Parts: sequence; C-alpha cells; structure tokens
Amino acid sequence: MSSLQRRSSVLDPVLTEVIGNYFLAAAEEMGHVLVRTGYSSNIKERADCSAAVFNAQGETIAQASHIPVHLGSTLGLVQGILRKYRSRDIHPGDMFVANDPYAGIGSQLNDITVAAPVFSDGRLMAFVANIAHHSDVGGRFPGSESGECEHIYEEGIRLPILHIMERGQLRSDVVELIALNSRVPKERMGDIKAQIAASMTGVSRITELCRRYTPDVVLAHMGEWLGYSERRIKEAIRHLRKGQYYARDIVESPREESEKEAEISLKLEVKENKLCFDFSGTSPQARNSRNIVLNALLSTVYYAAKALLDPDIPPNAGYFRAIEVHAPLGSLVNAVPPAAVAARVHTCQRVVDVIMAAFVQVRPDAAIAGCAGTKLTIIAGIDSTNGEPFVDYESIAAGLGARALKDGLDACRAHVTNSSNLPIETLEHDYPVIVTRYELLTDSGGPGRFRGGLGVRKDSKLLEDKCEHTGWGLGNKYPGCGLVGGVRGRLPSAGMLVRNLDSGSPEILDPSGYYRLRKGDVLTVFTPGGGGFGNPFEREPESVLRDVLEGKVSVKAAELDYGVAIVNGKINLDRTTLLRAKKQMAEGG
Amino acid sequence: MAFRVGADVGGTFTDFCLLDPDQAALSVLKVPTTRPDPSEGIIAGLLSLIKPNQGKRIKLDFFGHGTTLATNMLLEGKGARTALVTTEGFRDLLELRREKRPRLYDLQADKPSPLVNRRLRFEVPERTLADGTIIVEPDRERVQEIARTLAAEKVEAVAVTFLHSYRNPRNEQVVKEMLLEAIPGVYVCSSSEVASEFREFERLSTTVINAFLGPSVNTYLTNFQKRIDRLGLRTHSYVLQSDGGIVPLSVDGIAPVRLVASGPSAGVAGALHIAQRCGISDLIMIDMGGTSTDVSIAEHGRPRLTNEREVAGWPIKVPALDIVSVGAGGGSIARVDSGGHLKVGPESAGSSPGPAAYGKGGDLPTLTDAHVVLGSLNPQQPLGGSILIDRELAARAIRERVAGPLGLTLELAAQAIVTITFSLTVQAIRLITVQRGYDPRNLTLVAFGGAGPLHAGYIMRELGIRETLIPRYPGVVAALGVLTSDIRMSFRRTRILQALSENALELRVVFSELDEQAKDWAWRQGLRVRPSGLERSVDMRYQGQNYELAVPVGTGQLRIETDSLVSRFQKEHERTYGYRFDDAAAEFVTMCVTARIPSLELPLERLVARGASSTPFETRLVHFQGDGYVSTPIYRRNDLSPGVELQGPAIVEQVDSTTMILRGQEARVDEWGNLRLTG
Repeated sequence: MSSLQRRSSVLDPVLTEVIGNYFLAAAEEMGHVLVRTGYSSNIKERADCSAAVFNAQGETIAQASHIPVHLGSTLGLVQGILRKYRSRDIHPGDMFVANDPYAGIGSQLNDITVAAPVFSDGRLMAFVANIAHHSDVGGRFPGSESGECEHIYEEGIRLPILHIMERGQLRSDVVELIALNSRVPKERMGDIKAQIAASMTGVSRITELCRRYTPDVVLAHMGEWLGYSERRIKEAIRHLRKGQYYARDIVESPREESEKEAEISLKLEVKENKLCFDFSGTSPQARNSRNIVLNALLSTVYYAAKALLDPDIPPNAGYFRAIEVHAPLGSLVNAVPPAAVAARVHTCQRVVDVIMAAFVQVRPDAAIAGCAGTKLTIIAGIDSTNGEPFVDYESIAAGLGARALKDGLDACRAHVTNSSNLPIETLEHDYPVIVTRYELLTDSGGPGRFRGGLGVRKDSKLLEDKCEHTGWGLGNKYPGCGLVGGVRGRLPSAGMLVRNLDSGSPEILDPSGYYRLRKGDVLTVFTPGGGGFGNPFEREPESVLRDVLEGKVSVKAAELDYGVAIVNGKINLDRTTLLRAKKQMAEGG
Repeated sequence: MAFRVGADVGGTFTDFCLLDPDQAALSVLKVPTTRPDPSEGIIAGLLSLIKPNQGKRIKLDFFGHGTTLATNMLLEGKGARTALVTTEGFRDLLELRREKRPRLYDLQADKPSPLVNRRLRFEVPERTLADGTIIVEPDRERVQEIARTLAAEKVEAVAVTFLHSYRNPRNEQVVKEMLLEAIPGVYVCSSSEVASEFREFERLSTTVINAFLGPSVNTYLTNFQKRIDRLGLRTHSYVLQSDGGIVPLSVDGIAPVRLVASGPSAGVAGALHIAQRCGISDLIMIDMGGTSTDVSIAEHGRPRLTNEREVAGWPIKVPALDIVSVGAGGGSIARVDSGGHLKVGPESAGSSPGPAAYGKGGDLPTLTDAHVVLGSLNPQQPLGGSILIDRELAARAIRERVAGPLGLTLELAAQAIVTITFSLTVQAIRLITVQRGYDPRNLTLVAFGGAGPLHAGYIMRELGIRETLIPRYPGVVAALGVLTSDIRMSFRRTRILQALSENALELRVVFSELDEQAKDWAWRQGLRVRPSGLERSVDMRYQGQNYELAVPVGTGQLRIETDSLVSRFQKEHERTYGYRFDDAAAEFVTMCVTARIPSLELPLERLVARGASSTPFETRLVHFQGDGYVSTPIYRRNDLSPGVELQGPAIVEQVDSTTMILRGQEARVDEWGNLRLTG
C-alpha cells in the first residue's frame, strides 16, 4: 500500500482540499478588503499589501497572492506574540500591531503588520494577519525607505508587538502614536483602520469555518493541508539532479567612494527530498539599508523554490519543511541590530537572481535570467493648494530576465514584489507632479539568444518648490545578470537618475541619494532591462529584425550585441554571416 | 401573425425561443452553431421556426440575439489592423500596463500581446491637466502627418486616447474629427466617448479593444440586418450587450466593446425573468454548462453590474454583469495531482472526444462520467437526446485515473469528483456574495444550464440556502433571456468632486448632460424613454480611497441632495466592508445614467394542475453523498404538473437536464412549471 493510500484512509482528502481552499479564500478576501478600503495610494492603487492565515503554532496555512516578501513579515509573528503573551492572556477581540524586523516581524519598518487570534468554542484555533506597506513611518527621510540610512534608528518608528485592540476595544493611543510619527498622519490612520477591518473579515471567515465543520475537524485538515504541500514539493525535488551548485553576484553599494561592493554567495545542494541553501561566504552586513533579516531571506528562498519547482503548490508552511537555509549571522542576508534594512527588496531580488544562477545548472528550462532592477522614488514636500504635506511613494519596474525559450517581460515587477504602478491620472490628481514621459527604454534588454525585457524611462516634472527626493536604485551599476552566455541588462551611461536631462545642464544623480528639488525640475528615471539567456550571437536574425522594427533594439546594438546587420529595415545576410563568424573566431570557437 | 424571437449563440448549439403572443405559447428550438459565421445558423434557425406558418403574413415584432463574435475575436486576437494615437511620451502604455506580472509564481507566464503594434502607435504633442485645463493644443501638422502614415499603412481602425480626457474631451474630439476627415472609411473612436473614466491604462485598453473590434462588428451587424431584411420579415432586430440589456441593432448606437461579454449575460437575463415571474427578486444564479460555471447575483430584481471585467487579459471599463466564472462543468477532467489530491478542471474534454462515457475515444474521466457511474445520469437515456452513454467506459476511466491512485472505491471516487466540482461553485458563490456583503442564506438559488440542476441540491445544502428554483427548461434559459431583457444603455463620466452641497450644482450639470446624451441616443434609435426610465447613480468613495461604490441617485425628475447621497454611501460602505467612517469626507467620482425601456410582458398563462400526484416511471440505484446507493424513484419532468410534490431522494429527468433531489429535500412544481427545491 502506498503512502498516499494509507493517508487517505485516515482523512478525507476531498474535505482537506475544500478546507484548504477556504483558508486561501479567507486570506484573499482580507487582502481584497485592505485594497478596497485603504487610504494611501500605495495600498489602494498599488496594492502593496498582503494577508495570511496561521495555525496556533504560527505555521503559515495560507497566503494571499500579493507580495511574496511580505511573507517574511509574518514568519515569526505568532511565535513573537506567544512569547510575549502566554496563550491564556490572549482573548477574543484582541488584535496586535508590530513592525520591528528584529523582533521577528517585518522586513522593513514601513511594513506594519496587524494580526488577530481566532477562537472557536473558547479554543485558540488560528491567527490571521495582514501587512500593509505604509508610505511613511517617520525617520530621517520622507518615505522612510532611503538607501542612505546607516542604522535602523534613522529609518522610522519601531513597534514591538503591541495591542491595537483589547477584547474588541480599539487602543487609540497606539494608533495616535503611529500617526504622530509619520509625515502624513491622516494616511496612517486610514490605512491602519483598513488593516483592522481586513483582520475582522479574516476572523469572521475562519470562525464561520470552525462552526461549519467543528474545531477538531478543521485542525485535523489544517495539518493535512500542510502535509499535502510538503508531499508535492518533495515529489518535485525527487526528480531533480542531485548535487551541489554554486553561484554568486554583486550587491551594489550606494556610495561608491566610501564602501566596497558586497557579494551574495550561494551553495545550493539538491538532496533526495530536500533543498539546502547555504549562503556562507556572503559579505558582512553593510552600513547602508540593503541588509535583510533572516525572515526576509527565508521568504525570498520560499518564493524562489515555489516558482522554480511547482508554482501551484498551496503557499503554506508544509512546503517550507523541505527547504533548509543557512546564513551567517551578521551577514548581509542575516543582519543583526542596528543594521539598516529599508532597501531590503534590493538584496532580496539579488538573492533570487543568485538562486536562479545556481538552479539553471539543475534545470535550465525552469530558471530565468537576472531581474535585479527597480527604482524607488520618493518625492515629498508641501502641496501649496491645500498646505498639506505629501509623500509620493512610487517604485518603477525594470525588465524581467529572459527565459530558456522566451524573451523576458518588459517593464514588470520582479520576484518578491508585485505591486502595481500608480496611474498617471491618479498621481497628477493627488500630487503636484506632472509626468511628461513614460515609455520603454530602447536597448536596455540584456542581449541573449533570448533577450531580457526592456526597462523604463519615466520623466516627472515638479510643480512645487522645496521638494525632496529619496529612495534607492537597484541595478544602477549591475543590472540583472545573464544566464548561459546571456548578458546583463543595460542602462544608459548616465545611470538611473538624471535631473533636467533635456535642458542645457543635465545633472547625473545617485539614485539612492537625498536631493532637494525646485519647482520646474524634471527628474528622469531609467530602469535597466532584464538579463539575457543564451548566446546573443545565436539569436534568430528575424527576432533581432523584429526588435529593430519595433524600436526595442537599435540598428547599432543589433550589430554590436547580436551580430545582425540591418539596412533599410532588412537583414543584410552577408554582413550578418561575417559578423557572426568573426565573433566565433574571436571566442576561439 | 406577430412573433417575438430570442436567440442565444453558444459554443455548440444556437438556442431559440419563440413567443406567439396570440397563443400565449413559447416554443424552443436547438440548431448547431455555425462556424465561422454564426449568423448563418441564426438565420437557418429562424427560417425553420417560421416555416410551419408559411403562407401566412408573418411579422416579427422582435428579433434579438446574443453574440459571442466580439469575445471570440478578442480571445483569438483576430481583429482590425489597429493604430493608436496618444499623448506624446505615452505610446507604450499598452505594454507597460500596470507593471504587474501576469501570475505571481509562474516564471513562464506572458502578458497578453498588445493589440496595436508598436510601429502603429503614434504620439501627438498635446496636454490636458487633471483639472481639465488644456496646456497644449494638439499639434495639427503632426496629426495630418500621422493621418498620411495611417493611410499608407492601410490601417482599418484608430483609437485616440489622451491623458485626462475623461475630464476634458476637447483635444480628443479635435483629433478624432481631423482623422475622420483625412482618412474617411477608417473606424475612429476616442476614449472619452468609449469609456469616459479615469485611470489611463484601463481607459486605453477599453478604447483600443473597441477599435480592434469596430470594423468587423459593424460589418457583422450590417450584414445581419441585410439578411433579415432579405427574408422579407418586417422586424426590429436587437442585440444583447455585456450588461444584460438589449439595444436596437444599429452601427451608430453600439460601441463594439460593449458586446464583449454578451454571451454569458443572456442566461442571467433569462434566469432573472423566470425568478421575477415567481416573485423572487434577490437571487444567486448558477449557469453550469459543459466547460464552465457562471455565478452571478441580483438584488431587488436587478443584476449586479461591474466595471472591472477583464477579457483575454485586457481590462474593459464598460458596464458588464458581475459574473464569476469557474472552470468546471460537465466535460471537466478529473485528475490526481502529485500531492495526492483530486482536481477537477479547468481542462475539459469538450464535446470531442468528450467524456469517456461517450465512447468517442476519450479515456479521461470527467464530471459527466462520475454522474454516469453514480447513477444520477440515466445510463439508458441518451444525453441531450442524441448521445449514447456507456457506463463501463466511464467506470474504467474513473477506476484507472482516480479510484486507483487515491485508494478509493469506484463509487467514492466518483462521488469525490462531484464533491470537488460543487465545492468550486460554492467557493465562487461565497466570493460573489460574502465578499460583496451579501449573505447567501437570504437569497434564492436559481440553477440552470445542462449541469446546474444536478448539483443544486448539494450546493444549497452546503451554503444553507433555503430555496432553489430549477426552471422548466434549464437548457434554454439564455434564449429566453434575450427575449425578455429590457432595452438598456448606460452613459458614464468621471468628475471627481467633494461630496459637499456646494458641488451639488456641478453634479447636477453632469447628470443633465448625461440625461441628454441618453435621451438623444434613444431618439436616434427611434425609441422614447419615459422620465422613470432614466436611472441615475453615482460612484462614491471616501476621499483618499480609490475604489468606489455605486449609490442610486433616483429616476425621473433630477434631484440632487448631497447629504442623503453621503448617508446612502455610508450605509453601502458598511454593508460591503463591515465598517464606515462617520467623520471622513466622501467624494463623487463617476456619474452614470442608464436609459431603460422595459420589455413587453410575456403574456404567458399559468399552468393548470392536472392532479397533484405523479408516479415515477422507474426506480434505480443512485449514489448520494453520505448516503451511498439508494433505491431512488425517477420522474419524467413532462409528467409533473403544477402542485406535484416530490420527496428526496429523487431524480427528475428531461431532455436538456437532470435534477437531483437529496434526502431531506422536497421539490414542488409551481404554476409556471418550475421545480422549487426546499429543505
């Protein structure tokens, strides 16, 4: 009798499927309520938030498909709550709030988590939680997500686990405390209220489930739901080529003069029914905000494993059991206080690129080339039409890496994030900014047999004096890497951020720097393309021609990067053959 | 003789419903759907419908149809050679979209490929700001130059979309006029006329789709009318839009993008009509066919609409019925995945090879096979009147692919397939009720489509629903819907205003303009709207939020009371999301006026009871969840006259469907011939 058969004689697999999907639906519904009722543009338009359900031990039962890195905000949440409050001190109607990555909650201070216990027949059954990225939680720089901070004390308010509701009563003092520390207190109040509403939704859904099936049945199937995910990932791992695979890539430093660049190093070991990720050899934590705490690393690895092995595995802790992660304490990927962590996405994305570079040696068809590239732009100031402070928090996507048999996607959020852009019509309605250009960036895709997706150019003109720019840029020097002979994504020589590009005196800026801006200034952001896959000199000339005709690749780049000569909109075969032969000779082939 | 005819074009069959008002009788007909031009099948069906009356003077007072033409063109990417004219600096919006990736964990997923090639996307120096101020007039020389290129490139359709045109359409209008003059014969539409709402990508997507569909849809509508005219029938033709309303068939009066979800809306319209005749106005509708199940709801007799539909990956900002679709129906394939769980759908065996039981070479188990094994589908009676079924083939497929791997008996495996399928539908019903603030237990379930009545009993039990209505002819509800829909056309415009009394005047102005637009549209169609037929609503939100809730403004005389609108909005917010902010400012965002002209009442007579008892024509073993095999009485639907009451377990069979009544449930036949399940 197989293990499958033994198991099904104990529990009805159909009911497990039904209850498991109910948990997923409850998580999705919490996220839905949060987006619908959120106040800040960042939540209502960009959906920069997530929701999840946990069992009473803190294992993830379901995560809504929003932002994978937010999973890290919750991996240590329930244990944290249980450590601080014994379970008999937790009551129906309680709700908790926290954001301190070093207390095991969150991966940056902007991500505020609200969590609530779910009781049924007086028994603690589960926790529900949602995470919203708040566009300003105080600190030295507007938007609280600067690349320039040197330690976490500069990054904003730190919240240990606190009650935000006690037995159904709102702790308005806690809400006021959070609001008071933000440059835009109204938004914080509105967003926190939306988070509370979302949690209430989650609590009532899980309570209904327990009423429908009884707590014992729900608990049994909760466990089986985790077991199911575990079996599925182990089944996928069993088919992989066993062995050890190595990869590394650079994490750029924001201030090139003062600090040398850091590196992420990975040994991936594929065992019989386990994947081991060893990050020994990764650089020590840095004096900038690109450090990540262990939970952020774990959620990044969990994301990558699911994407590579079986995208349809239910997102729960069952499949985490087949994954082992080792990261040296005090390193870039397992930071200790007081390391700054605001730009954690920066390093998380690079970690995924490194995992892909290792995994392409295991299964070339599953991995995708480097996607490291995003510009986070925060513009803050006072809107003179109403005298109110504003924080325009916006990230701009880069191109995604190419796949083994397909080009990469143009201008798309990569891996651990998946928020939307802010519609220009919303942005111009809400903030004193006009967008004058928003388009794909020619020649930015990393050359390869399959080309990386294109990055973006976005120009914004300021309508107010005394504004400030902060944020960070990923991929300014090292865009996403190529795989199997593919080349890194590209950027114009000016880099990611230029002030007054089309004026007589353009000024190249550090994309992670702090700048004061004047009325009439135009900020141009360039984001890099994704890495290429395979040797670009083996790309089908017709594909290169199509790119040239559509203006995605220039005639010059077609010749230099791909060895394809295009004259008057047609491929010049003779010259193409010559260019490609020369290249082959130069490479000693 | 004055007939009224409704037709619904499905994937396999085109269904007809003919009403003869003199006889107060409905008749139905099914003909195969023709490809590639479904209008051939429609005409053929129409001819055979009127054939028995040959020689008489025939008049068609009404001939309406729903069409999947626009949907299919979009799904297959086969539309006009389309160009885009847009604000300078923004030609790539169609590819940039909202910067989200299509599927979170699937690295191989692609965005839908843009409907306009990058070479055919042109930029014009021009600019309007968020408050409607024009800071740059369109560059006329540049427009002329673009027009010459469009002509040289043999473009068939052009979408004009400028930033903030929902606030001030002038620049778009100017450029559209110039293009119409410079390249006559080319289909040109502007975003402010197609979807005058903010958020540039969604408006652009809607406008481009409208242009992409424009030429073919117009040709189709024109040819269709010509063919009808050629039959010598004096008739008024109508077509069903995505919002479940019908409109006169005319090229000027219809925005092609409004037909994109026409197909599924017919069933909703029909179910709603049937329910209302029975005095039911708050309901959940499930339309379960061969490959998918559509779930929707109606409140106070009005179906729920949405402005956020996506088709083929493209957002469409025109009113459509709020339908949640699940990829599970009779032909859906069951399989055991690598973690040992059973999945049903979304892959379907279709009609060829079809379920294993059809014996047409399909060896994968489907939902239909499960019902054959369980005995709920009659192994002796041909399905749909024509397809013979083979229980042994069904059993073999389930044994090999499901029962074996799961270590279950054949019956339990088949029952598991049924349970998984109705659980998916239950989940969709929860999504569309609970998530939108409705309690399913307070609604009546209406189950139709071939497979709906087979699962209604389980679904109502699972959700605690008290009553279910199974229409007399579950398979032709959609065709009836076309026949009974109201004429309806809506006009929308975004104007973001604080919900304060000093803005009442501006709100009033927008509504009066929309009223005029609606009346003008009706006038051009030769119709007249009564004042009570102008239905107004305004989408509102708390200032700072970005999703709106529709608040009715009232019909007839236009009266704006901002205070009462705000309090209605507060109530709606609380109902939908469970809380309200009493101290937060609210905003008006998008105003909507719908012209509605009610359809004629169907002069149907109630059926007469012919004795309240009925005997089963046979008894067979049928497997029920939880009960195992039960010796079950089987009834013929045609034998059941009004007043008959049946106790579950029981099965009711008819040519187009089978109804399952569970133990503890009761079914009563009502005066319209519908089955009413309770318990």
